[in-house]
Amino acid sequence: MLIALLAAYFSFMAFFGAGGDGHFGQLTTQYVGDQIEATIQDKDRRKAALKGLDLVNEDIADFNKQVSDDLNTLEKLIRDYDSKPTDFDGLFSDSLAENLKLEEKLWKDRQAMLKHTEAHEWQAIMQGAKAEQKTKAE
Amino acid sequence: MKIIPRYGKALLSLSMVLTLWLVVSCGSSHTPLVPYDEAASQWDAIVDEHISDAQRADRLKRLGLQLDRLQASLKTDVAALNEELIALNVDYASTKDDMQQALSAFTHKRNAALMEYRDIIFSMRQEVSAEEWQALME
Repeated sequence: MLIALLAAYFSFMAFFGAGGDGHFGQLTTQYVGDQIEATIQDKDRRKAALKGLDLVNEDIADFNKQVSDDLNTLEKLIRDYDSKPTDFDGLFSDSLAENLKLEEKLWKDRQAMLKHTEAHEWQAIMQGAKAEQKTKAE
Repeated sequence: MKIIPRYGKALLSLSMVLTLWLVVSCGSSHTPLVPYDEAASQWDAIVDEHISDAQRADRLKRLGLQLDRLQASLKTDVAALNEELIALNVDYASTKDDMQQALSAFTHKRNAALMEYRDIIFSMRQEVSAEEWQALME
């Protein structure tokens, strides 16, 4: 209970978490690879798009690792009776800066992936990913 | 994910936080560890166990309630942001500026919440000794 808001803080990463309902991650990672395979007919573009997706996946993994590391640091600060408000502020500030950096990289790599995908293909990929996610959830 | 075994009983409150975090971030891919309401009531029980002074115990419970409300508020904001980012990801033509615009509004709310969270933590510490704090954490 004491650390309840920690949930809110770390749920900030939720939209980059793969596999969850209603989260950004589900549409970038879990089902997208299969949909790219099925949708992009041109072999070279398909290969490039899948390579781009790998980078996006790595970005998400990096983001989640950073959040996990921050969680460990925050836990230590909370447990330490002698920790100072400035210690918390420093963590929050550093975390935010790192988040922003990783978000920018994620978006950049998403855009690079899309360069190998036509707009109508992306629409089909997203629709397929949604449908696949829904089927798996049932 | 072996979070609870890792921390064990040492930080019940953290387990609840992590439960929420996992629910929010990973959806159905993880089993909730401790129901939130249950953990909240356990926090009250832990306070009663370690803080014999009724007035201080009551204040600690109230502060816990503040955390609960704060978390709930930000969780709603996170859900809305998730939806917004999902829409951006689906949209082939969305830009980095679109993403940054979506994130900036939420970041402002998040930062305010984190400051409140920090203040609640230190308000709690003002109510207890180092030994009591350790007991609450353990």
